[in-house]
Amino acid sequence: MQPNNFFSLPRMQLYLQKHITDHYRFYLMGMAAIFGLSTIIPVLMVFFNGDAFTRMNEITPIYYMGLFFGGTLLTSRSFNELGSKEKGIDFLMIPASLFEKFITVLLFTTVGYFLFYHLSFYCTYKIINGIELTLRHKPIEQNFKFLSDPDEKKYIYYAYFILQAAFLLGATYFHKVAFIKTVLCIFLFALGLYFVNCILLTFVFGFEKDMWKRGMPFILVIKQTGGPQVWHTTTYFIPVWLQNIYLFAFKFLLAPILWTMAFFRLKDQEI
Amino acid sequence: MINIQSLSFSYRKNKPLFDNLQLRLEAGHIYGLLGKNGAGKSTLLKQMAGLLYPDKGTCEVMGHAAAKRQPAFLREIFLVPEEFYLPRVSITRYVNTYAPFYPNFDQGAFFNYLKEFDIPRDHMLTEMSYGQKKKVLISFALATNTKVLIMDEPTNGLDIPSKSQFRKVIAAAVSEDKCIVISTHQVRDLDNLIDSIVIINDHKIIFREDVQTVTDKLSFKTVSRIEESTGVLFADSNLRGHTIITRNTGQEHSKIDMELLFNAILTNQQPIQEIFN
Repeated sequence: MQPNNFFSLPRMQLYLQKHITDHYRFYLMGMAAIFGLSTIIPVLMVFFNGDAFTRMNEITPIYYMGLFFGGTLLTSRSFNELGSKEKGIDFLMIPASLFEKFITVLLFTTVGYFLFYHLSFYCTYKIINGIELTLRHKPIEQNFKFLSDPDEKKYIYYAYFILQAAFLLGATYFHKVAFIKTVLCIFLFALGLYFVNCILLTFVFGFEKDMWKRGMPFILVIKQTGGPQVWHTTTYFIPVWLQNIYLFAFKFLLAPILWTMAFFRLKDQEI
Repeated sequence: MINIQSLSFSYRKNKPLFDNLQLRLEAGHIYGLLGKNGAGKSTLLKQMAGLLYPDKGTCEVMGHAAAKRQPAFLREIFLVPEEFYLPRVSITRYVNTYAPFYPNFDQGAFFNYLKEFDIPRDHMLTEMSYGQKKKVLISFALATNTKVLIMDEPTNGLDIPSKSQFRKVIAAAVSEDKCIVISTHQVRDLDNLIDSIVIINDHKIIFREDVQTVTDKLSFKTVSRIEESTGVLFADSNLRGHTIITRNTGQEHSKIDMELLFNAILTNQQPIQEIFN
């Protein structure tokens, strides 16, 4: 019988099993390192300074750093196999579809890390809270909401998935030192966008008003008149319909587009 | 079974490795792909396995475009590369993980091959030498019962007894529906094993004949004095005298000397090819 060449659940299960066999040591060590680092550093800070974490918002920078840095570091290693001839042949020749291989990597990096990290950081929080209770007889004050107050905080999680997708795409291009190379590419890409924006603004507003250096690329531009003592500032936003398109793209399009690009890039791999 | 049509490929621009290459390999044969280092053997095998994409032309294996690397194709082909990866697990765990991908995998046969190669079945793959690992991979490759089996320099790293064990297990594994392609630059390792010869030189297929046709048309002899022989196409001197290739005019049967034939074709290609054309 001809198998489904795109996706088959039993074959996907086999591939997941194979992926775990190949990588379980690395994942276990990574999990231990993430939990260890995200716990030991705040615990030491509490021991050296009893008031280090009295409120929730004092812990959140560590939480966000761990989420973004750990996640992107793991994802940038997604296709390390392709940097080695031996492992690359094993990866490409194993009878599973490329989609199954890609989804497996996505599950273990983007989704898997997200779930693991929250479980891990919850334990970290409980440990710090326990220490605070023991030392100060007071729990950590719950003054931070992760998805509201303001509501825009939820965009941090959209940014997580977009960055993950960008690093996954980077991993299909760079098989060695992928993290640094991807960071560099993102920086160059952002710089390129900034220059395009500057050129566009210069065309629209002219060069003499320095509009090109005031504003947020592709979103708003600030016009200053008057001076030298009194300045009048006018802010021009892009229209609401365009803002909505940006928002829609940020929420629902960017990450899937980058994942699709990564998938097709993976398809082109040769050894 | 393997059909390569007008294949062009280059690693770098303006430096073609293959240009308009044609090759057709059928089931039921063990092909020896012979060539010097850097002749393009491994690249050709990678094309067959779908690890490289043709710049022009097609490479079809069992009707599948190899470069698409579809599961239906991958489960019917196994490549034993010269340098390979095995995970850090026991042999049993390796089999349990990898074998289910191959619908015709024969676990009994796998352990028989291991026995043939004197490999203990309870060992960790990481604790093995390179040669032992290679034997595990060859055993696994044969046990998958894939229709196409490709081996790149399989005897590299094997000791002398293992080379004859290798020949024995491969000869036993061949069947009417299987196509085995073995590449090597150590042609003596394939003596008595292959039934068809493909010689690749300067990125071209310069010779492709089955062993039977070769021995029907050419005669391989050892003589003490070259001058006494007529129509010598190629000669090589050694301590026993001179090994020579002549045209087989008397329908006599001689054992093919693969190394001699290989050297003869590389150095004196035209007269030999004229005999076969």
